[in-house]
Amino acid sequence: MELLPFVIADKEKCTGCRVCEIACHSYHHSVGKTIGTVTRPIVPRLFVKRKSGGMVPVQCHQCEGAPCARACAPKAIRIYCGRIVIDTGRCNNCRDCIQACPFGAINLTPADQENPCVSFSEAEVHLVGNKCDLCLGRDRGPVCVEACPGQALRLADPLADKREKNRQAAQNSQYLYRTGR
Amino acid sequence: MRKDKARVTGLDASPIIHIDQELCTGCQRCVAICPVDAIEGSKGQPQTVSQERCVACGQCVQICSAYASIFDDDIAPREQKIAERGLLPSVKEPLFAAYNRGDALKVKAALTNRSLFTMVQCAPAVRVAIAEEFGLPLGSLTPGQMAAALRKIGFARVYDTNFAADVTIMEEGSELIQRVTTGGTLPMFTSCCPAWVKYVEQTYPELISHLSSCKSPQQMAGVLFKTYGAKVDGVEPEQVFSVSVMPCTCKKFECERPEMEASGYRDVDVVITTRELAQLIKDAGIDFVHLTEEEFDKPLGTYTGAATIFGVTGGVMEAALRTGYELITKEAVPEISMNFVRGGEGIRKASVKVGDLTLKVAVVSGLKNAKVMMEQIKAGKADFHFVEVMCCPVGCVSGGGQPKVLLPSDKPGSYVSRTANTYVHDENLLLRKSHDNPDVQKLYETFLGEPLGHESHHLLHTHYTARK
Amino acid sequence: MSTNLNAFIIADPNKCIGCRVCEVACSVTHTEGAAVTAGMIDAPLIAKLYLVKTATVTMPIQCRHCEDAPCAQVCPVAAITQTKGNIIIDESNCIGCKTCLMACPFGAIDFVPVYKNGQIVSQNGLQVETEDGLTEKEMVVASKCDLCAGHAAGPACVRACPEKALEIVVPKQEKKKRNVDAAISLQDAVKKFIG
Repeated sequence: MELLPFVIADKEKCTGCRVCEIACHSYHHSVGKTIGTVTRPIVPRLFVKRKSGGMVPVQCHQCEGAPCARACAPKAIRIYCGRIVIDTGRCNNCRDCIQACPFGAINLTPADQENPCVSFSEAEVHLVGNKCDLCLGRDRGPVCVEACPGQALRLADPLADKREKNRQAAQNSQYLYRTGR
Repeated sequence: MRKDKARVTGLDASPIIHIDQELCTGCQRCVAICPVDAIEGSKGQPQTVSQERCVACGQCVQICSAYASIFDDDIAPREQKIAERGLLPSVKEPLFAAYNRGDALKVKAALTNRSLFTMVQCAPAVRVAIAEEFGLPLGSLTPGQMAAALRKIGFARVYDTNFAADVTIMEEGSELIQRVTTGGTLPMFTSCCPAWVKYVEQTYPELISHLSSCKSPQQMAGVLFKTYGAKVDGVEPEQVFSVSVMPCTCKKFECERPEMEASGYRDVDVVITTRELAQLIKDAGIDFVHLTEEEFDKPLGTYTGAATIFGVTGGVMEAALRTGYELITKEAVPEISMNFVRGGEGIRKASVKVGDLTLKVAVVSGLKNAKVMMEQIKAGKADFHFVEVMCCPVGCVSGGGQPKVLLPSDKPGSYVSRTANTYVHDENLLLRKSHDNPDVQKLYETFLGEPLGHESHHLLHTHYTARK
Repeated sequence: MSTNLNAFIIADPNKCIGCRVCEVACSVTHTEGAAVTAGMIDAPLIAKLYLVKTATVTMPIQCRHCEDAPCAQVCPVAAITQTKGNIIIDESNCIGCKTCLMACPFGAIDFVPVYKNGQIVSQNGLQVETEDGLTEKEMVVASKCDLCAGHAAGPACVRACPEKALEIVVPKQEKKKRNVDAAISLQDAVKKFIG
């Protein structure tokens, strides 16, 4: 039994600098190395939010029973290569997935990546669902994890995390009955 | 030393570095990188710039990653921010919290004004970086395309800062020899980095006399445009509109210094950054990547390899040594490429045998390292004749106005490539020593006379102001 | 203010022999059909407590029914609630987002497939794309110790353990008992020295 991994942030380390959002955009769109080569708004798939005194990025949890997939009528959302992806070819931009996701991890963005535009006017542009896909196709894994200057992001393997916590709890429990009963 | 406070312009008059309070997330990466601790604020709250302390180096602008997202609905519309920042309305790139004042609109207006004769100069560091804004690899060397683009935008004369850098070497080399042989104030510091100059003025005003009296190449070029250049091109000085393209945000401050009007007019009318030039080129619809290379105009566009290495740390020192050695010993320097002054951020020291004299030199890059040097001087422990100081990490190629790299992991590589290609350019030029520049020789023969002479003193040298 | 603290089950690592009968009992109790022999079990054993075996310690780990349960706090669909002194997961609402798993400091929550009549249940929604086409994804939900709520006999693991290593701790009672024990032991000590 394997659980889908996902990227999680350490609230203590996040400073809200947004490099993760910029890196995410740069992987998913064809841009050069400098800001001057970016001709469209930055559209990331993780969102840095201010939350009770701190900043933290929020992104798709790769849910095992993904409500976005359940909500999607054209069945455009499915698991592919160990992550939940949106098949933008099938997306009919009905927005049901956006309503369904409790994290707000899904966004609507222009489908046409070659046509630069500065603002989205829905009448002109074909929009499709867009969400974290753990940088499908990237050998070194999610680019946001690599780019964060404070190493606040990591790709979590939920089962490995859980087992480690079980071990730690057992270690700590050794001392509960030290005095004997 | 003039202390006429009324005429000293701080940055308060027209601040160059700003932090947009709506966009700043308070991550404080700018605070960490500011060499003069000019950025204030609590963690997680928007930061502000102390214009008094700020030296306008623009490193904060380079590092800031807090961008204006189209999903933020509590910020002013993009059009408003574009207007506030002085950006061309056609600019498409993302906007960030830390930014520099934009002056490209003034250049665009001048280029369409038929009563003006526009002359432009580009710093050496611009030609190894501008192509990055058009998708070419980091550090691509494209002087020919840069000149072609400038001509296509409409500049009447495509001159070059590098010409003036060769002139700077003539003047500064002579000044150094004079100080060494007549017991002048030593060590002498370079004065071409305006952030460094402002830093001395506001932090170590008692050491101002150590600064070379030479203007920077930008300012020397500006004053020559409106005097010698106007003569050569047969135009009235008041018609000349002098534009400078720099890898540096502080050069905007430098050109506005009150004393920079030796030509009788503002020697440099507007400074724009490498990024702003790229934006102008895109605004004009020019396909930079496919331009045919062109030459710079003569006489003020001729330059040597010694001039072009001004863009990297150790470059001014190396150029000065190439010429100084020959001026003193009357012999060619044994090795033109001097690796012992080259390197990265930090302090490098060397002793160079120049005839009977052992010249002790130091190269400092990164303003925090300059502080170390200044303290040594105050303690009487700095045994140097000549010190080059650059504010930015590896010299001008890493300046605040250079193309802003998207990912932090690409930054070091950008420094390495731009530096390497600067030296490649130098190696491939026929002339590699400033004193060999025939148009510089002609300038002296027909106009200036000799280095440190009366005309030079009036036009090419300057004074500084204590700002404490 | 008198509130009762949630009861929970904990193992004595000195008594645990790592036999896993607790896991078997847990799994059987939570599966319909009440299997009595191994041969009656038609699905993988899935327990809500997890045996940990390291070089230094052997014991099962399970939910502590925290008073300020982080799992309940982070669940985005409010599927985890406190009911009658018990932190309960409503499996029908669970979307499998794994936030509770990440939040639990003990790792007491696992994500498990659901079996009905020996068959794994597929979810009506998410599918998996492979080279061979589309297949159903199994239903996966959060699972943790529920103190065998709804089972009259009480926690199965406690009853099943051959070494009596597992016990239900009722915190207020346990505390009182220890206070009394401590008082008695102190009285004895003082008597010895002062007489």
